[in-house]
Amino acid sequence: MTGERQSDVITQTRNGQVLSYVCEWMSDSEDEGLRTHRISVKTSERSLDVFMLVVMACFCASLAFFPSYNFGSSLIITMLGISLSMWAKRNRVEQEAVVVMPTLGIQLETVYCSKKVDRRFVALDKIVTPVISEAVTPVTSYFYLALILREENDLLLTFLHLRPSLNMILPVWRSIHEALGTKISSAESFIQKTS
Amino acid sequence: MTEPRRRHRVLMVSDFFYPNFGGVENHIYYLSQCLMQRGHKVVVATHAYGRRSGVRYMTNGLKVYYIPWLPFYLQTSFPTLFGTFPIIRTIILRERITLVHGHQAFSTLCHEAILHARTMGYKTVFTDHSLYGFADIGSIHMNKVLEFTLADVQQAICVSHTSKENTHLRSRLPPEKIFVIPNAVDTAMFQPDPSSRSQDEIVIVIISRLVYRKGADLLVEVIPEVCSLFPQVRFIIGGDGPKRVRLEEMREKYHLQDRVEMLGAVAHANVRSVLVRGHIFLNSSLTEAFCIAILEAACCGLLTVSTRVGGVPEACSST
Repeated sequence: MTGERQSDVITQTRNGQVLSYVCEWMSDSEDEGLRTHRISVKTSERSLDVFMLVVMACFCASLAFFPSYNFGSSLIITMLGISLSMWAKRNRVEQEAVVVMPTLGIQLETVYCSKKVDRRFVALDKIVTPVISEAVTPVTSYFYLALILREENDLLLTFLHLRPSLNMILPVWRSIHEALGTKISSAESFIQKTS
Repeated sequence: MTEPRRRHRVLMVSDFFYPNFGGVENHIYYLSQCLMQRGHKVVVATHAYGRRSGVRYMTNGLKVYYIPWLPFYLQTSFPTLFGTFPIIRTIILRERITLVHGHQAFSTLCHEAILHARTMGYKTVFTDHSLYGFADIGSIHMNKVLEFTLADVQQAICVSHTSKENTHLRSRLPPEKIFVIPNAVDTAMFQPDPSSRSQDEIVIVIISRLVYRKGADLLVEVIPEVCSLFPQVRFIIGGDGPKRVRLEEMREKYHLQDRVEMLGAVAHANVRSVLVRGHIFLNSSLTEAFCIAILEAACCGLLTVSTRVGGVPEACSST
């Protein structure tokens, strides 16, 4: 059993965040064995400054709005500010991964900043096909990868917190198709024609 | 030596697109198809219709963005001055658009898209499809908005010379910037068929939305007179709308059930089959920038009779 191999890293910079995509597999040949497609976010150093700024702002606001300087109550408000920013940081997603196991299924994994991990497994025979489609919201439009499941009305969305770009989603889509064993040649030529 | 033609990537923006049906929608669709045949890329942006929202593809890969903004009055989106900026900017950058083309002065999405495109430095074109008034309060406000939006547009297109005059007076755009490009019909779709007309009676066909603006009230006055003066005349009325009730009442009152046939709403694919059954086409609209219905009827071999309003004298040439 040989060690891990990694493909090239694809990065995308967006609003001060750097998303990087990497694909790891465990065995000798690329075609067998399970593959992990992992997208991680590195927020820049500015986020630490934002955190400190929030704390300082709470402290100064608590000082300013009380006519008589009362250290106890300003401390309480600063504590509130600290806990608020820590809670916001905890819910942020650090990594999202899709693990493709060729005969077993697909596992979706979400790792939060607080090191909490959410995993969900979908059996291979429950999946009809993976689809890449475009979503249009009132303020933005982005590509997403979703799995159509049998006997369920909703699509199962992957990478929904991080929203990576199309060139990061395409390898994941291709490897799920490989695991399912379906051919993708005609669909791929359509994607290249319309981009 | 001709230089190689530049390929544009055009964004057509309007509140009015399929599944809504009408002249503006047809114009945008056919123009997009013709531009794509010449090698340019076209994307259409409009607001969501009911559950139809997101991205759809039409013939030849025409991409349509149905943006989920609320339509609030007569199929136009809710006017927020900067609300649509994020999504319009995202669409323009995603599709690498080079030219933004807005349609129809009544469409708020069109005005906002032209405004935002000019803010970002893109070239814009505006096409006006209708005539508007100057006196009532809605028109005054809309003309001011139009003046503001069109202050910086590259070119404007109007469908007739009357429409050009109207647009110039409303928006104070210099006439050199306005081009007149009349609308056209697809002659492959509208071919005459003399064999389907009846030989012993004269059939007059009317196909329009039965609303006040299209002169449905005029029809209610005119049809009984014509029926009593000319016994060999029959009417076929296609279309639906709020004034349909009045026409049905007229039929009852003058006992014209066998002389006037009401077809209800006619799908656009069936319009030709209704037109070829007639000898004369009647258009009674009260205002019209350019009447495509007249062209379609003439293409099918009918004689056209119309009210002399707006751009109609330019569309149908004789008296």
